Amino acid sequence: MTKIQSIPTKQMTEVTLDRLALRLEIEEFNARYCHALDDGNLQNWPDFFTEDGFYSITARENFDANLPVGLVYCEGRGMMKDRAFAIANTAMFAPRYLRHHLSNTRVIKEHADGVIEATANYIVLQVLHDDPVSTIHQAGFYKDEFCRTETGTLLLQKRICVYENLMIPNAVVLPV
Amino acid sequence: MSWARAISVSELQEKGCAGVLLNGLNVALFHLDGDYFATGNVCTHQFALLTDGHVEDGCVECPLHQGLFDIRTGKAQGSPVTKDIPTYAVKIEDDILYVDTDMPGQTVATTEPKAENITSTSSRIVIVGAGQAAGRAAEAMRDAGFNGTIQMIGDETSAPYERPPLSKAILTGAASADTCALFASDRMAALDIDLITNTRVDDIDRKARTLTLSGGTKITYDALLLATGARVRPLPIEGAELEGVHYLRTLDDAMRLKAAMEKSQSLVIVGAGFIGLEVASSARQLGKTVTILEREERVMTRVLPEAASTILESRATANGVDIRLGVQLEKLSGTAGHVDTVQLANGDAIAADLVLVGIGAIPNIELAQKAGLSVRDGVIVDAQGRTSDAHIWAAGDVAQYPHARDDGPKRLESWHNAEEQGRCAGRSMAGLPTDYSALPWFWSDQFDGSIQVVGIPQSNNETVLRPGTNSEGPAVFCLDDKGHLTAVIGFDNPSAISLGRKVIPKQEPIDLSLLIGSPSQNDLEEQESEEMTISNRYRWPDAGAEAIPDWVYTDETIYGREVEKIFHGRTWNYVALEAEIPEPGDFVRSNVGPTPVVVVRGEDGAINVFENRCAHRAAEFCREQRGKATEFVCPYHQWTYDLEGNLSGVPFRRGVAGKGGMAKDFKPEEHGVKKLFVTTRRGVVFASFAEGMESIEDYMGPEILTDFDATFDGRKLKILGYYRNTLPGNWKLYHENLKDPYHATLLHTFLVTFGLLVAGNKSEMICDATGRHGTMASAKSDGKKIDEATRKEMRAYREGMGLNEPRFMDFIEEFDSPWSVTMQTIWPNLIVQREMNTLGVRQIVPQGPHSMIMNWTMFGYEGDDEEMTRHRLRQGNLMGPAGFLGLEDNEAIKFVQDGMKHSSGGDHLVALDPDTPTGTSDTLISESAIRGMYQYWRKEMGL
Repeated sequence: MTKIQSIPTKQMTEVTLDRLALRLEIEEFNARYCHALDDGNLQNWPDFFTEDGFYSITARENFDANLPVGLVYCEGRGMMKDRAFAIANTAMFAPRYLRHHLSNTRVIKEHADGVIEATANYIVLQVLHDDPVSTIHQAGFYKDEFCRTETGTLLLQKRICVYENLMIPNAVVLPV
Repeated sequence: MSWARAISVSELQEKGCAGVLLNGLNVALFHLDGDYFATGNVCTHQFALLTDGHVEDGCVECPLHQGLFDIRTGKAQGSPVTKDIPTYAVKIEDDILYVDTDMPGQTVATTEPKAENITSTSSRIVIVGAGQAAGRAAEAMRDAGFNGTIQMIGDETSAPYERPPLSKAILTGAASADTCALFASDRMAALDIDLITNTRVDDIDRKARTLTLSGGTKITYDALLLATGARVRPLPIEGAELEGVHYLRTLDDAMRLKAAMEKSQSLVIVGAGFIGLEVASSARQLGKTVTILEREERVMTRVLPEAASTILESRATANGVDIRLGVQLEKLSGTAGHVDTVQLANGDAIAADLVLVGIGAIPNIELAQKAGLSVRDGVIVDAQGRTSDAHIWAAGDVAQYPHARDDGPKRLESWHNAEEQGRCAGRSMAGLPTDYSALPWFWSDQFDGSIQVVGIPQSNNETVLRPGTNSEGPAVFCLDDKGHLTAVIGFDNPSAISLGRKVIPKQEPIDLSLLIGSPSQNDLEEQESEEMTISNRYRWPDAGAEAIPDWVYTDETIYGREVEKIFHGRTWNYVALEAEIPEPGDFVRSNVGPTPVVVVRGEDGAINVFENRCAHRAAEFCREQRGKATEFVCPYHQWTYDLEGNLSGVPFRRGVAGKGGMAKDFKPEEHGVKKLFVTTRRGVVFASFAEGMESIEDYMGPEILTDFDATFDGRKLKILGYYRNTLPGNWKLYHENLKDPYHATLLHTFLVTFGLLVAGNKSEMICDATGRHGTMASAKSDGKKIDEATRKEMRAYREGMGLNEPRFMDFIEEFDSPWSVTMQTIWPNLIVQREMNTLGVRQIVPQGPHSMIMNWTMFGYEGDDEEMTRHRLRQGNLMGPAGFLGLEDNEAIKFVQDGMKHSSGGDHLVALDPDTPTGTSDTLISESAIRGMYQYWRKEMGL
């Protein structure tokens, strides 16, 4: 029989609550992030990142093999702004609705330097205006690194969207 | 020493083999030709007990995948087994067999150490003989990387030469002696062969691995090749020694015969074999009187069936040769030591000032015989060309090898056999795995015609004659008692020979009507009516090249025909990059057209492509996108294929306890997966279902190759990753999009908005001669050179629209090309993308008329530093299914397909730039490349 150690109940509760609070904070962040994209507010999207933040969308195939390509590959907020601008002003694509569904948000690790590694699973449903059926546009998970601004606000310094559907259905127009 | 009691001798004698468990080990016991052996009983391939298998010819065959092990030595006999089983010492006391599992079995006398991988510089290979087989063997050794000494000892004066011209072009004077050389002098020098001429080898001391030469010199070898060839059979009658009596075997013989022929008028040839008939043909060409004497009742009795002999005979007779069959020679007589008369046993006398004896050859086996090697009609070798001594190989006329398609071993005297067997032995001696399985092939040119033989006609074969037509000569097909095709003899009939090449190896009963080649009237009508239906149903619009009808993109029948005529037809299809499969065993799944294939690097480093479809129940057996394998096992019934797609194992092929299993004559070699032909160019791998394709360079043509080579410029590729997308449009629309420079500035406003493509850009739409391939090329303008008007126009676009990160649009010069962008469409399934510094290949996988899959492989080069790699990745935002340009192309193609699906139907209009009907155009406002592609497509499709 393993001896059960007695741990002060109060301490355990604090740790647990801290973790729960952080997870809720990230969920809150992600909810705002998804809302910006689902709502088509693309110009606000780069603001979820730090100035030198990194964003990419890549296949599970590449992620597992450490292959660096991204379907979208943005080094820094500047590239994200360019993409947001191009999608909004120059790109030609069929009108559509996208809706993100997130679950299993999980804090992986809090680093001493304040970086928070986290993950969440996502499904993005897509409805094309001329097609009544909504389809799974992407299914995968975020691989995130958050940090805090001086005022304590969470920002993404890295988000890799790893999708597990083998095929992209025709085109990925909006960020995931 | 721990002798364990294993079995009673009488029990083992009765069973032949038995499995026992000794000291926790599975031990197999065998009774073989009065001897007893013990080995490990577990197959080294996958778990199975060998004693459940089959014992034959001193080997035990695993029941699971037919791995073979030599019972005496434990040696694995090749695919699928590569690792030997252990052998154990045995002894018999009081009718009991004891086994000591701590002690290996007695080394058997026939198994000498195997000289494997003798590729070091210190090794010495000696070749006895300097003929065709010797030369090809030496060449194959060098090709295989052997860099040690090669010493070649020949008893003639020349370097290796080809014998076929001796009886033809040499005699008629059409060729000189030096044109017969097997290797040009620079090639000969490069092969670095130490050639000793005019020398015979008298003796082989196998133990000391030393040869004694005719001068008494001794030389040593690590590996020895006997390519001693054959010598002429002498005529055993009176007068054979007279002057004017010639034989033909060597170049010296040929030169002597040529000189004698110039001075003579009446030639008598003894023997109506290949040599006799070819010399007769040459002599008739020179205007000589020619008589052929043959002991048998027809010509070429030994090698050809009667139907073929008859054709040859009539050809010779028609050319003025007097052929006398069934005659016996009495003697040759002459005056002043020179022959002038040939006396026949029937009393006839034939005047002759020249006699050629061609009554066969005797293999030079004496040296091997004296050295104690196994010899029968020739020196006995295995499929690798190895004799009974592991350090000695034999090849060519002198070697008797296990002929895969026949009952017994064969010794063949032919150019083709010397070539192929020489190469095979050379590879084997250099340590490469090899297996001689060439289908025998002879040819003979005579009387302005050519006769070819594939396979080996057997004396008891039934023969079927296909009469000649206007375009082809006759052919004779030989069938054995099972109705299998054994040989084809074609007289100026290459299609019959090629049919033979395909059908003979199959060893299955053949439909006679197929051989006789006149399809029944019904078949013809059926075929014709199908063609008629297609061309009636699919009428090209009257507008011609300017119109493309919807059915080209939407019709299932058309799509099916495309798969057959294009993707499975005479095309090179992209399948992979070599950088994805650098090591032996590395594989990727890919497609040729819609058809799934496996692309794998074999043990020998060569790339193999075969269908991903089990020969048993069609299961798509390779499921991993990529990986490393030593073999492929179909998960359904464990049928196993090697890296070349050969079937290497069928579980329970022999059934269980003598019941069930495959028929005895089931031949795994006939049930491999379908293999494709493979070629590569600069690290890009292509495959084809079609045999005899032109080279990939010829296929692309010079216009396309230039830009292909600018992208694949010799730097090693580094894979950066993959995108894959479905695209709901016809596969040809993707080609058209990249043959349509018109859309570039209109659809991709991003390019214009950010000044990437402006009026000042130099650009061209380049096509190959056939119209199937294309390169859309443009050069990024140097900002300084843009004129003021263009600059103004650009500024207008740029008002408030600058990029935050303009560096991602930088072009870093790295290519030997005037173009900063080339988009190449290589028919039928490859796009090569060089968009400034972001590089990739795209593979089109058609999925029916309405849809395709696009596989993108993005790459950089080995040696790119981190910043360059990141630059390529940043610039990659232009491309792919989420790229600024890529997503728009995909959307536009989808719109086109949607437009055809439910509309009232009609044609597409491709009429831009009528001054350039098809092909290369230097204006962006042109559709000439699309018109060119459809001109080619219609031809291929027969529409």
